[in-house]
Amino acid sequence: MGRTIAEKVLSKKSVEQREVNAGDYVGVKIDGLMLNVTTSQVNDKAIEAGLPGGLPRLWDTERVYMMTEHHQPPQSELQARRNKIARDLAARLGVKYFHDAEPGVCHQMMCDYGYVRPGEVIVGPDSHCTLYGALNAAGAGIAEPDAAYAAVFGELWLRVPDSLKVSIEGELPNSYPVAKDVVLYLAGKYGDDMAQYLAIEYKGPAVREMDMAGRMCLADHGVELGAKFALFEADEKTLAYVRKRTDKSFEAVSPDPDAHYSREITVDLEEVGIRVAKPHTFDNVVPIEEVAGKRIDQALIGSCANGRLEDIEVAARILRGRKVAKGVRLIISPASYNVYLQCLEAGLVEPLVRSGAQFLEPGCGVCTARLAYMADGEVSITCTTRNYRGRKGSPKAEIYLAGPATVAASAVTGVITDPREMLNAASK
Amino acid sequence: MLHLSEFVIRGRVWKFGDSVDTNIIAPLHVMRKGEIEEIARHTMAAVRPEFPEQVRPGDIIVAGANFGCGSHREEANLVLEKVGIRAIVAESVARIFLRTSTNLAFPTLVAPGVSSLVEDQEELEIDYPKGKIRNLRSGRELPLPKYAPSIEQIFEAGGILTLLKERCIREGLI
Repeated sequence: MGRTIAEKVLSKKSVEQREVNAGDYVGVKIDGLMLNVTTSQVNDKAIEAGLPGGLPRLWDTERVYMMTEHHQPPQSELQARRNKIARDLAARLGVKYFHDAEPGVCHQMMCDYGYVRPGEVIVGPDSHCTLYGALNAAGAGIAEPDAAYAAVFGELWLRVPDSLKVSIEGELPNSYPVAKDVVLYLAGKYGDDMAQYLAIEYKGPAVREMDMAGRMCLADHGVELGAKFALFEADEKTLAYVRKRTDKSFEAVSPDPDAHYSREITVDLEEVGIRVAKPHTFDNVVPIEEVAGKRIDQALIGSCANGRLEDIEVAARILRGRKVAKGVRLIISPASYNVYLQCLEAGLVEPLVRSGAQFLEPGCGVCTARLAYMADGEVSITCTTRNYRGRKGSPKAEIYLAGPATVAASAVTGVITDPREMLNAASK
Repeated sequence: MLHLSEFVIRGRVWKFGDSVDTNIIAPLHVMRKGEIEEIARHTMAAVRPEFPEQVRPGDIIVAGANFGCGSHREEANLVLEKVGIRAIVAESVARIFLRTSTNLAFPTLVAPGVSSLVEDQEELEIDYPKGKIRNLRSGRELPLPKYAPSIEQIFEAGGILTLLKERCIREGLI
């Protein structure tokens, strides 16, 4: 029987070099280890394991990518201390790829710098490692004890997941990025555990048409659907994206034509429309018509989900000739320094700032309880990753999730707003 | 060390619904100080304000679907053990939370139907060797699916950190 991408990648990378199938437990040689904000805690785990001084070595300094990202610049003394430990570790272990004084979201930086290549297995202590699937890499989040083991030996145990095929059909809207609406639609219809322990394979004509930013949004949110991996095949867009960033060799992996999927779902973009997740779970999703008019205090654009050039560009288009509503905080945080530079070069930043947007340094603060806190009773609409209770401070604050166009349009009116009318007006 | 082959416990149940995320278990805004004791004073309080005060060593968490979803956060695994939770039994568990429990050799078990087997504050018996969970008041029981043999081996070893140290010694790294 044919094999899925997950089965083929994990067979190729299995320690024993054997063919594996969904349900097998297998030792896997990893291609990359991403170490981020929790690097010092990974070393703490090695100390806790009884290794004097912590990690005794890295299995391969060509394959470890370290960055202080979330904690750059440090927002507390603890963060500063942890960054310092990471810096000392990088020197002691001979880390070759270390990004220190550079704010950003680790996953975007991993892609920006060409550290993610098709056909690879890449893990790291952050749930959104699924994003690497946009580049045909099997990316999965692990925790610090696991990361300590992986750092020393370059191996991990994994269960080979069953695969869920999601085909996206229909025409992509030409005026706004639709990936967030698609993933919210999926969560709303099938539940936030629809892909629990599974590898999603995204396919279909609309996926082929979709740009890398859209694919990254879908892959990133794989974890919000419970997935272990969220994979795309590598096509000419993937190869162009990767080759521009690295000259390292790689081998893309496609599924066999007769691969077995435990479930197959088709999404028709006609049905998706504009979607919003209400508080406090990712699958509490409604069509925008049901929540339009809800007053907001804060509107956020950024994160590994929707902090790329394409997301900020649509916000700039919507805000052209308009102002952020009085009393509303529109906060934009590009996903990385590279993205920030792209926005500057494209001339997006100045008009957005003139419209009343606040720019934050690139990073994860916009998405978590690090920056842009909310008080009891406040309401936020955001295209970041999660709307869980208390994610932005008060458990009595409300977080609505939507695509970047919806967030920008809502910032203009001060209430949750369908962006399509403003987009039509902007294109005229 | 915990031996699954002898893991039989009884405990009072704290019952939760679906999609309890790691920020409810370990809120980021109290993780700032980096102290597990501080997190313990706030764990689960967003949905059950009385939990941090009233949880007792030996208690069991019973939850709905997708327990531990959201951010990877080892503190979420550690803090529940810290406050004395002996085991978690859920309809389903988010993958990273389940993986981390395994690597820490902490029993987080998936038992479909558990939500309708017990009510909050009732006593539950978990009998891993026999593969059963039982409501001690009603006497009703449900099958408890076991871990795969390779996962049981991680528990028997005492978790991934023990495996890390043993392999470092074996390969002459320390």
